[in-house]
Amino acid sequence: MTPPAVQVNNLRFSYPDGTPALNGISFSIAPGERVALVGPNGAGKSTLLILLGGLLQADGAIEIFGSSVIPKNLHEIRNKIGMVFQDPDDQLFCSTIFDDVAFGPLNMRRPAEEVRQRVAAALEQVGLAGFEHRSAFHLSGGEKKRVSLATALSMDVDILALDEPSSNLDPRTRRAIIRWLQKCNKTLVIATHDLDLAYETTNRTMILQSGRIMADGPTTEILTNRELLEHSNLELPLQFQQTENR
Amino acid sequence: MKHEFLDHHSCGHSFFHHMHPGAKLVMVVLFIFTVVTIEPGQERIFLPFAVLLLIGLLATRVPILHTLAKGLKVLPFVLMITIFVPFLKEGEPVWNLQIGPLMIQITDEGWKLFYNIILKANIAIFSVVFLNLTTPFHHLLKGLQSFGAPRIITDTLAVAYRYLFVITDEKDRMLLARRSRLIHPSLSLQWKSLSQLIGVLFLRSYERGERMYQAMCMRGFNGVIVNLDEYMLQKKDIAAACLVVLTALLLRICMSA
Ligand SMILES: Nc1ncnc2c1ncn2[C@@H]1O[C@H](COP(=O)(O)OP(=O)(O)O)[C@@H](O)[C@H]1O
Ligand SMILES: [Mg+2]
Repeated sequence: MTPPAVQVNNLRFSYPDGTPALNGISFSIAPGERVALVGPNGAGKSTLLILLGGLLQADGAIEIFGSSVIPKNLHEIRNKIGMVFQDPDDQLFCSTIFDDVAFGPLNMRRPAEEVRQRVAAALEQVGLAGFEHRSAFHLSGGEKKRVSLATALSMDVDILALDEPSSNLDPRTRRAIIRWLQKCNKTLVIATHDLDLAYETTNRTMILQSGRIMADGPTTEILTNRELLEHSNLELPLQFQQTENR
Repeated sequence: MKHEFLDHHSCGHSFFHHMHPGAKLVMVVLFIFTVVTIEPGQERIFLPFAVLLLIGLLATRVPILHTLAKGLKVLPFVLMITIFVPFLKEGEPVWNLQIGPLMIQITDEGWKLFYNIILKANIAIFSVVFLNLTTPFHHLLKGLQSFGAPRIITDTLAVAYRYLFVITDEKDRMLLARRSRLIHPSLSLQWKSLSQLIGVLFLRSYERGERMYQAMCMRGFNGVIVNLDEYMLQKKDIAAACLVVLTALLLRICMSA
């Protein structure tokens, strides 16, 4: 039997200043599943993603494809889960797009020729072929977001964890990202409060509030349940609000 | 937001754009060195150097007006420093002005030195403009690296350059927000809000640094930034650098003899 892509048991985490962020969370994600993590600001979505990548130490157990997220395994874990942070400027810290997208594979000590191929392939996948020699500060917001995606794709990961993929994007670029996510066939964990994006790109939704999971089920059920959403300080996706008003 | 980027034209295509940054750096530095050693009174020597430099600048295929504008921006600073030289250097007076007890005097030697410095400065400035026009900042850093500049310094400079504009944008947004809320503020309030703004900017940069580090770790970073060496030092780079430097030296030696 193949192990789950993500297995989390009784995860608890407080920031060093004492702010509790996660208060005992357990769930499991199967390979190929597409999961939306929704919840109001401060619910702990970003914190959960960061913990999945092993960037902070928490109480409880996390396993990625059967390997525990502990310091000894981090190298292996980071070949399996890639993260796209909310602000692309945090993720694109190199002088050129090439250096940014090549950063992961080079750290994994891949040979030069393979690195070049991976970079070209990753940029191709996000529709930015030939952007290698540009600098991040010459790009538009949407292009930066896509390059951020490419930096994770070049690592050839199985799980993509995305934090607010549609924040600060104009409607057209947002639509392009949604289309891209729909076509992507990796295991997805998307933290967002863009419920329309969640509805269109995922098949399972978890509602997080005050560091706890309030609901977990098929996206089509959870995101159409007005009572549940309002109870969690959320709103129905816009597309359903309009049909109800007619 | 838009900025006038320091390396606006540096991604063009010409022989010099594709030259190895290390070889280019050595070439420019030695060229400047041969010029700045020209003594006052030998100004005719400058002409061939100026011609050589002009050929180099034209070969970059950057519009010459853009090049001129870039170089001339630096000139006022040179003038600011050198403007007193004709008055201070002692020697044969060529021009006097008596104001009460004060005597202002321009000397022949002073004038020649001033003229000499201005010519040197122009050649040096346009040589650096040449370097700037053909070399993106990160290539320059790679050039420095190939001469053994410590990685910690070149990497830090690379990241600083990358985030210069990000932080400037952040500052502009915060200033805008401040201006839209402070209407006819008192001076003390202005200062108070400004100091808070600087503090917040500092904190945000600090937090960004932390998030950046997380993003690096997520991609397997373990303390050393690995780069692919795109630039191999080629024979034609060495040949070009040698050619330019030798021509400059030869000119210099023949003309001063
Ligand atoms: N670096 C930090 N230091 C201290 N507290 C933090 C930090 N980052 C987030 N928090 C707190 O942790 C909680 C969860 O935050 P976060 O995971 O960012 O929520 P979300 O992404 O769902 O908006 C919030 O109460 C937030 O204030
Ligand atoms: Mg968040």
